[in-house]
Amino acid sequence: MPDSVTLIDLAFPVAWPPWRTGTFLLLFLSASGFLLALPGRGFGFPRWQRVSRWALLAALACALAAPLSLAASLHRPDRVMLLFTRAGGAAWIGPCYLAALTLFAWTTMRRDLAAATGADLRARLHRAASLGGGGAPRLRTLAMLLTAGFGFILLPRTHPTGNAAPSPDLATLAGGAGLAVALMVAVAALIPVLGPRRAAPTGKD
Amino acid sequence: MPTNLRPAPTRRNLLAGRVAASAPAAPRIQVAATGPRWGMVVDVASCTGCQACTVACTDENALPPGAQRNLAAVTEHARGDSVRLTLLPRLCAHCAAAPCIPACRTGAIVQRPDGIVLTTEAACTGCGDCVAACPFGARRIAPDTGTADACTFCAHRVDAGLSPACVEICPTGALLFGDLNAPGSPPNRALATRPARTLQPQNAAPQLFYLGLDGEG
Repeated sequence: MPDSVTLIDLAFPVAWPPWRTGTFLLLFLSASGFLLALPGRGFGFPRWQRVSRWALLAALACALAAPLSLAASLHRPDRVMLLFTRAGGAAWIGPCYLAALTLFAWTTMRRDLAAATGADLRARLHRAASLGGGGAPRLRTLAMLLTAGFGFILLPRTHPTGNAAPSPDLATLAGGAGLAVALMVAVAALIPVLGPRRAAPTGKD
Repeated sequence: MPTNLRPAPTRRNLLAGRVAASAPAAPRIQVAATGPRWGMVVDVASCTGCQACTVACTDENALPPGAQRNLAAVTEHARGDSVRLTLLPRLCAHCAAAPCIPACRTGAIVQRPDGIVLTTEAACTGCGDCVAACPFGARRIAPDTGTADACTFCAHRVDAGLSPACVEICPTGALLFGDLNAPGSPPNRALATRPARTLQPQNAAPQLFYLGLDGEG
């Protein structure tokens, strides 16, 4: 085998659009938000309700923004669908995660949507989107498990360059898990501040 | 196991560090052991840096102004503890285990049975993963199409029985092109008589060899 030398400079600049970083950052933020939403919206702990609601909305917003960031990272964003149509079944895990998360958010917020009052367009849309407003606990449990499952498969596949080295994947996985844990600890510490407000003492008790 | 085949991208292999999470988007074609396997030898000692190869490539492949697929530039490289500056013609090495192929998620990069790595422009999203994955810096995003682009060994000329345009034009004969499976081909004759080097990493099995990199030529 011929001897080898190490190349130091590159002939052409490495193309790594910074939006790619945003894609996996948004996905990990979404997963972290989903984890934060579980105590209140998944398991029903009353002190977590307010925090979990905001976390779930944040998870949904980040998951919806991630594909846009992915498209923005391409030099040909008009061909973003090729990433799904040509890359095989594994590429659909991302859309499946988004669909499951949307279903989970809908099942946990149906009652809130159905409780909208008034005759304006926004209230009517909320009531229509609730589809009756039931709790649908089985559907919620199914959506929660699907979201967690798709997220478990999706996150290790999320990496900045698609290169062959496995370490970035494990590093991002560890970083995402660490971020979620750090957020949960921080929010748990702030629950007395962010949680449901108690009625001020009136002095009659 | 052939050098251009990788373990399956299963979760077990991922956790064992044998593969990355990105699965090959297209099946890897085993490079033929019996048919032609095209490769190139660059005699650095004979290169004068005239850039005729760059101009010929641009003309042959109708590249837009400013675009290029190969470049004979003064390049900094290291061997051991010594760092050197060398006039180094650079182009796609058409690696037997090309790192750009598993990096492509849409299967736009394919390797022909004769080893030539080609990019399907219509299937490329311009994500730049292959540019980042190429350890030799031989790939780029074409500014006119927004898709990945690299040397094709002038596959259209090779299929017609001709040599690549850069090899034809080189006035000093510094570029030698031929079938690496044929013992009497120009690259094999040169490799048999003089020490050759490849660029790191060798596990990509680049099929671009350099003679006279340290002035021994």
